[in-house]
Amino acid sequence: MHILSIKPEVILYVYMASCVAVLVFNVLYIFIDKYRGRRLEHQSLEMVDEITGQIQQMEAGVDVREEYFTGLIRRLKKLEKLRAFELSMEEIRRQMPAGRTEKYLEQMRRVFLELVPVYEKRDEIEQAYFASLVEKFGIDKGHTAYDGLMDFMIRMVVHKGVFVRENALRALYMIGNKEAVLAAWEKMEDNEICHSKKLLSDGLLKFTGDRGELARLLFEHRSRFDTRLVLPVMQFIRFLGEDFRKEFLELLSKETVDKEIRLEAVRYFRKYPYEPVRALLQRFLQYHEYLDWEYAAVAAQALESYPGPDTVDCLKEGLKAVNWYVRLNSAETLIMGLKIPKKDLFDVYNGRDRYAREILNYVTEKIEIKGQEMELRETDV
Amino acid sequence: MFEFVKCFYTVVGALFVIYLLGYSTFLIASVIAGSLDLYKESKKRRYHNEISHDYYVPVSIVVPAYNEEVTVVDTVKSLLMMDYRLYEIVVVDDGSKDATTQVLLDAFHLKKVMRPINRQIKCRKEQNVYEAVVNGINITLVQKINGGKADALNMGINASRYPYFICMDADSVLQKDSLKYIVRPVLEDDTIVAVGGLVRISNCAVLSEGELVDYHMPWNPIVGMQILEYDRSFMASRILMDKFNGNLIISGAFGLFKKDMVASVGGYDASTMGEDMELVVKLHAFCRINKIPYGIRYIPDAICWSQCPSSIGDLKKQRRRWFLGLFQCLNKHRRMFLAPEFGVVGYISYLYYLLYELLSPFIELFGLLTIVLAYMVNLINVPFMIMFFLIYALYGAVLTITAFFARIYTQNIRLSVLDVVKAVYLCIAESVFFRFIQAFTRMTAFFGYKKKKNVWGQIKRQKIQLHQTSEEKGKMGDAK
Repeated sequence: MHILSIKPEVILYVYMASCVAVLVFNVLYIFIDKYRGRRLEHQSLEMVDEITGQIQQMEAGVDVREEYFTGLIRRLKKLEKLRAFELSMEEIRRQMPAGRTEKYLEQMRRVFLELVPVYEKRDEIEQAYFASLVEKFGIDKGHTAYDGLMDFMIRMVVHKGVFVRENALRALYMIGNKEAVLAAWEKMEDNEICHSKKLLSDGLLKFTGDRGELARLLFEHRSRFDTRLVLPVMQFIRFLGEDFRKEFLELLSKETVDKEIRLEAVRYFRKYPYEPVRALLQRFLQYHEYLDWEYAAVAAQALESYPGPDTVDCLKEGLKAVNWYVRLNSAETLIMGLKIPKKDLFDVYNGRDRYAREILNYVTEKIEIKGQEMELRETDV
Repeated sequence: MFEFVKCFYTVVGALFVIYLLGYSTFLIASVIAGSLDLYKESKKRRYHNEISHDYYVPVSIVVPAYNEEVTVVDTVKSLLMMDYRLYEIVVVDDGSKDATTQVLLDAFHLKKVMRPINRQIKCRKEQNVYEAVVNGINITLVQKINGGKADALNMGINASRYPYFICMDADSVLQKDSLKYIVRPVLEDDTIVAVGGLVRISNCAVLSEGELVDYHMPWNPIVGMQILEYDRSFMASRILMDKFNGNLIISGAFGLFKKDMVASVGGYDASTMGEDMELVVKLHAFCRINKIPYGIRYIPDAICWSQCPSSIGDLKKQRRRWFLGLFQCLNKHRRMFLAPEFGVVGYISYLYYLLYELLSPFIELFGLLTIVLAYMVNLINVPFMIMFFLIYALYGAVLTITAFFARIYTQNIRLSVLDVVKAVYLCIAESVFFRFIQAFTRMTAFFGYKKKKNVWGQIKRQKIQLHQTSEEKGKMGDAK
């Protein structure tokens, strides 16, 4: 007698059929992928000849025919053809000096403009790919006026896909229009986009226009942005130069300013010493017990740019901190940064604070280990 | 009386059908989600949907070691070859009885230092700390009093310098590009607190310069079946759970964690055998209770090669540990069960592990008993039962082979015809036999539980197959 009133085996058959379908898909994909690879190679080789011919015509002073662009736009609407175009341009760039392809790529701007409405409707992978090509081939580089292409890139920076956002931002950095970057920042703020701070700050360094002007523009609009968008701008400025010392001091002095922003300002003053900051940094270390330990730890590092007996005394205070990082940073600044000789640290080595002694000894040992490695490397050379 | 027995069997039968269909549905959903995801990832790679950044999220690699003199030097050597800009290696010798520390001292000329350890997380005391710099990479060796794997990991976290750490086993090898991949989610999203990598079995692989150069399906069926089991688990169910931020396990063999978050939850729990799972569950609980936006991701591109047991005895030891770890973890965090504040983690992930991992041996045992009883009272259709078992076994085999091929095509692995034949045969064998070994191990796991609950689960180690070029050998010579 059958104890089950429904037939589970039927459901298992259905599931098994689904599994077999996935399996067939996987196996077919392996073969299709191989075939597609060969076809792509063939297509891109054909395009190499075609594009080389166009470049030669342009060099000979013959204008590119309208039909060529129309045909190219029609073909590049297909993703695979766009990939073939990318591969063929890569090949041509390998074969020719950089200057020879520039004029052709300038002409490609109109093709990419026509492709904007097509790729805007595609999935996120294809949108991100389109943006990556705009960056890779310098399409729109140096353009000051907004048009369909730049607008599309700005719209993409609020996409939920991180790759779409990142590729669009990279394209904007490559174009080099500071107003467009500001517009992208504003759009991210309005849409509460959380893009990686590190990607944003490192990305800004790729800006092809005037970086100083971009930094000034973004910094002036900082009040409009949340900390997550201000920090990358400050990190970008840290790599640029010392022109923002007054502004950063103002931020550092205000206790109401976000902690992350103030810490970033301390890092800036480590790289670009500014005498009015000296007392403030020392205070962070002297009153470390009443402060968030991170201020003291970062200030201990920054003080390497402010040598003097007052700084040494202050760092010796830091050696007694409860927090391990404050002690380590103070010790490293004293021994590695300020290169204070052992005799001047006599009071600590012979003092009652075991933790302070231990951390100084450890930093000394670390230097010895690094020295040994350097010696080994030199011997090897 | 007979009517009562019939009624009992109707209810039991219905429950078993629901149970089996639930599991089958989860498996098919996993395999389909896994295959689609791998296809999407493959398309993403082709069309530049990758963060091609000059990575330098600084990372500390923590390697806990206990009686690992055979493999630990090779492991550290392989770590020195990683394609990554800024990282350090922290090896913790958890009171080994063999020459683990000595082989490391000899191989890398480590120097004893008086380093004070920053004790953010509770762990047993260090005895000696050694350091060296090799090819610009800091190596720290902490020798400590034996306290178990979790305790060793906690010491490693305390001794690490960087904001993110990777935990791995001393018998594992990271693929050269694995660090680059495992930190990617952190770059993509600042709220990521942990990332799991793909663990693959190294018994049948040969690596050179941190890259795979030779791979064949093994002749040993114990190893072969585990390869297929890992594929099904890592290429299917973890991808599915990743879709809703519901992964409860990041393998202890390879995972990346945000250090301050781990310190906030108290680090690894030294009182459990499944410290890797317990940490992940704890992170879920901590972030959800405190309403901290967080993500726990799984990245199949970040690959770690790990040894698996090659004998039934070792396999049973390993699975026993895993099962008891699962029990301890689910028991400790039982308030997650169907609790609304834990969302999908409580409704789906916890429920899945409870029903289909923890309780499965007992449900299977109950099933066997009811079959015997039904047979005795002539309430069972034996041919149907055999047919159903065979269909189910075949279904399991097809699922496994699907997951296996999904990995082959997405990771550009070349296999010979013989390998494919072996894979198909092993899929069937795994579906028919392996589950019984698993079920038996799980059923008997609680024997001697109190006595052995906090010991390192040691399996027989083999030397890792690393092919080195002459240039690398020269580089390693520098360290000596």
